[in-house]
Amino acid sequence: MDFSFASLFGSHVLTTMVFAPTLGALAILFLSPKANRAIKSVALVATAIPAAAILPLLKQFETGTADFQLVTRVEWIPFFNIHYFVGVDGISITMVVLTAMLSFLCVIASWNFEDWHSNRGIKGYFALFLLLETGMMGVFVALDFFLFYVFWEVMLLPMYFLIGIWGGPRREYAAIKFFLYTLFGSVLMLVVMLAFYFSVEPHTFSIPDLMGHGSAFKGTWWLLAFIGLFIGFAIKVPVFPFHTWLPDAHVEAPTPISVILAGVLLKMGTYGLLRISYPILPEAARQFAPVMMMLGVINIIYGALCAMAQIRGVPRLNPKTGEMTVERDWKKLIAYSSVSHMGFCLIGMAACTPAGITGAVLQMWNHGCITSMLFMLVGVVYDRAHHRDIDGFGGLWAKMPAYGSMTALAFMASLGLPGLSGFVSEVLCFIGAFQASGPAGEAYFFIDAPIYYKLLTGISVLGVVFGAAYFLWSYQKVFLGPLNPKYEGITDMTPREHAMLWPLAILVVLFGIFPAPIINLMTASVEHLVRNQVRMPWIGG
Amino acid sequence: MLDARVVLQQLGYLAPEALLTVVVLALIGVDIAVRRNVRVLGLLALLGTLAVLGVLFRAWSAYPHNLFYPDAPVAETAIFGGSAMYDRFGLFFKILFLVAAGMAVLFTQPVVSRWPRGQGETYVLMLSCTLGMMFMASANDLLMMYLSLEFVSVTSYIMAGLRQRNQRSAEASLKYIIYGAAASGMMLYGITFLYGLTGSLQVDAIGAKLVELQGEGAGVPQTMSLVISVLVMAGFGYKIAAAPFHMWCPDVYEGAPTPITAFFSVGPKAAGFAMLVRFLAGVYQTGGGEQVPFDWNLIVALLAVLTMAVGNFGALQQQNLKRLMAYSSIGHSGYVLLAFVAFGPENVASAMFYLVVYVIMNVGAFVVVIVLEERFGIETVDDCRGLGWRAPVLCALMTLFMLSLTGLPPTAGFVGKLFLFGELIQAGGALNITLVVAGVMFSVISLYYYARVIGAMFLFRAREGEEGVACPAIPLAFQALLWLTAFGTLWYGIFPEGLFRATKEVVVQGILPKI
Repeated sequence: MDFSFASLFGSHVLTTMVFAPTLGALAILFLSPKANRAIKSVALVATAIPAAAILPLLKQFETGTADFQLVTRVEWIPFFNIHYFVGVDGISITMVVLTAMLSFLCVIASWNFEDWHSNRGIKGYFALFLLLETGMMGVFVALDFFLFYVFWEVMLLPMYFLIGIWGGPRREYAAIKFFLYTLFGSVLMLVVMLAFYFSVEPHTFSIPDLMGHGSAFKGTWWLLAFIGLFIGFAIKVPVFPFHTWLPDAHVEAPTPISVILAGVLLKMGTYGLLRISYPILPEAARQFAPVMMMLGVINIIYGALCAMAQIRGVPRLNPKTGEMTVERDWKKLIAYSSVSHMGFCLIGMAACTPAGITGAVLQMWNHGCITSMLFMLVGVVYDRAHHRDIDGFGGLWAKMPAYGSMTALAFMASLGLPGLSGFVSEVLCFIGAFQASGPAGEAYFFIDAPIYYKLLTGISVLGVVFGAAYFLWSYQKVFLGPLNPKYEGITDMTPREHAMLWPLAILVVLFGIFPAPIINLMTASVEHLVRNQVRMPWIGG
Repeated sequence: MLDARVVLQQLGYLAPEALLTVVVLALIGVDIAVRRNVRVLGLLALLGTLAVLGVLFRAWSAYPHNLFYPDAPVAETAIFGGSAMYDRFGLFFKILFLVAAGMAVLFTQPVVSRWPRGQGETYVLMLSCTLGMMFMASANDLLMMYLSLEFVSVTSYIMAGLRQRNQRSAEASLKYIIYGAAASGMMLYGITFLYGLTGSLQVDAIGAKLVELQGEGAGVPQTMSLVISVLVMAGFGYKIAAAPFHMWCPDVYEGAPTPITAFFSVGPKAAGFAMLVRFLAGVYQTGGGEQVPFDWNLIVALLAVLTMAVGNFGALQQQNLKRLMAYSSIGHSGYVLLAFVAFGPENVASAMFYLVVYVIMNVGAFVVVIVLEERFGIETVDDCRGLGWRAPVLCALMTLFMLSLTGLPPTAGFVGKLFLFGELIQAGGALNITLVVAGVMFSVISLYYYARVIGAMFLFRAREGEEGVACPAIPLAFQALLWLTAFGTLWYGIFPEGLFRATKEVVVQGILPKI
């Protein structure tokens, strides 16, 4: 093993990206709790290292092959044949880049920590944030299921604290709900992981090795195993009906944490399905595909309707005081729009056609960029107005033209305007889903199998229409019309806010016009994945 | 017949026990000689446990040789005519008990030094109890098992009542005695059945005889076997606090002095499990794959699920930290019991691993509870509100222990559960898989009450007037223990390899032939 300094950005670049933030977190623990500037600087550097490592990573990555690259494999617990085994392929590299980039931007977004209403424990905040980045990055690079699981769970505690300490008014409730939901899902994953381990000879947790045994995993038990894994991942995505933690967690979390939640954490669910469920259990994936399609469509429509409801207003009873309030929360609208947009990934994956999977992975990337912008933008106005009531603004464009344009860009990208990146992936998901068709003579949910996917794809397109409705409507309420006199003195975006939004805006426009570079990254791996699923009846053998 | 010379030679196997007896006697003597000098007593107790630990390690590496008579024949692992076993399985547990006792002496010292009296008695009883535990780990016949169990119980009763002029403590002691008497009575009744059926008290002889009877077509009727199993399990269940024999546990834990509670939650519990392994391996399963057709697996499965349910549901609403820990410890007994359902060599190894990990993390958590009670005057979860901002390091360590008890990586609790559940899955079968699913679900439930402690410490603001109050100094003994257990919790979570191998080897070299 060569662990020279140069190799930290060479063959071990992934390890560097995973553990640089941990080192940063340790360094922060030794700083004085009063040294705000030093703490923030350490956090910035610790996230800048993975962000800078994106370049050598992309440079070394070969696009023509579906193999795992930049692999490091070191024995860890030989008793259970567990390795520290990391590497990337075309699917995970996009997520690694996304994580590194968003974490860096989120440190910039956290720079005004002193202005938060929960301005305390700055050391803890940044240390936990860095630990969170290690967990996220680790999940995307781990090729050993045990390692994957460890990173998956390492993320939970920092997130619990980040929501629970620095969150909004209902933070305690949101934090424990997030914690319990995710742990519930992940213990199911643990059981399946152990079942995998003991079912293959020699026993192994290695994901590439397990993929090789994929054809042996057949029958009811393995369908149950698939469902167990699916629930674990579905809670993260989140898939209806496991989504109820999301509006709470996303709304209560402070802005940078909402960004991480929506931008990176949700992707772990879909990533897990692509990395583990599909390749290891292809047979069960085939059987489950119609259900997944249905859930995807429910996600799209239900999420969109919930988002829409925030415009009309949702009556809520305050359990403590007993008074009724009407909630028109802009952040909740965006949280529900995430539920809707993750549904596109699901239908692309359910179809499991090359276009569908490419669309799903691209949608993971695009949603990561766009929804992060949306949460940052809501944060910008929340920092100034200290509320997020959609009806409580009005005419902000007059005072905040830069903010208004940036929001317009993000909204247009999110609702799928051609020329911006969201459009490309949504269309790919639709095309992919439309291409799929079940065998003649069968029926899924009382719908003829051959037209099942086509019909449901048709329904899911409605999601885009709803998306346009709630985004444009809320835009109109916040930015257009006469200026609300309360916000006479409101100021436009600061240079810091520009700095955290522009990189994402550029990527959204760039990949909207020219998505080829990112699609090239993933093509080989996606095709390999699809070829592995030949049992899908509509994919030629 | 027993040869006197052999017996004398075999006394060498008891070197650690003999030394501990000497230490106990010395403590009594010193207590009389230097009245009220807690420091000397504590130091003596600590040095004594360390010395015994040293002898145990010597014995471990000399195994299977006799420490005193290296030339004595080594083929036999059964000593004293089969009433006890000398193997690495027993040594493993004895080392664990001594480590637990050493830690207990350390965390007792700062507390008892404030008591008006009874300091000497505390150490004497604690180490006597440890002595009983050591016999429990090697007992191989029912009489010996019963005697050592009673030894541990009687010393425990007194320890629970050590807080004089305290109603809670007296109540705890009395409840402990009543439940204990009932449970051991039941166990004794079960033992008489076994003796009556087989004419033997030695566990492997009983097992062999039962199989023989079965072969002759004169097997034990199902009802009878059920009655015997339930009766005997009452005794074990009481010691390891398995439902439905757990009733004493929350009250005793709450009422007994906190360091004593901490000791109860690790030492006697682990000893109960060690003895249970020997009992089940001997009576119900014999070499050569023949198995007595008792439904004991189902009974244990039922006990395990019930115990996990009682422990985890019971803990949900607990306010008092010690009661919370009591229910939590019941829940953990349930997890360990799961390993006894499949009861293969790997399962026993996983139970041993889990017990080691449990001792480490539970002692850590209890030291925090003791510090909270002694230095901050905090006894309930709500009182912990905002404490994380006053004593961040202490509360961060508590978070670590709570996570480990929940079973989240990268802590030892996670690896322990992984080993436990994994080996159960390997054993296969719908029952085992269902049990694993139940086990992980109860782990999720347990997160709720463990996170309640963490949440109170960090998520909530302190009550009026408490914010910013400086935190009192924490005695060195507590600090040392906290860091030691925290280190152990992380170390075995990240590098469990050595302990994995040790437990596996112990099972292979010791108890395996009978499983």
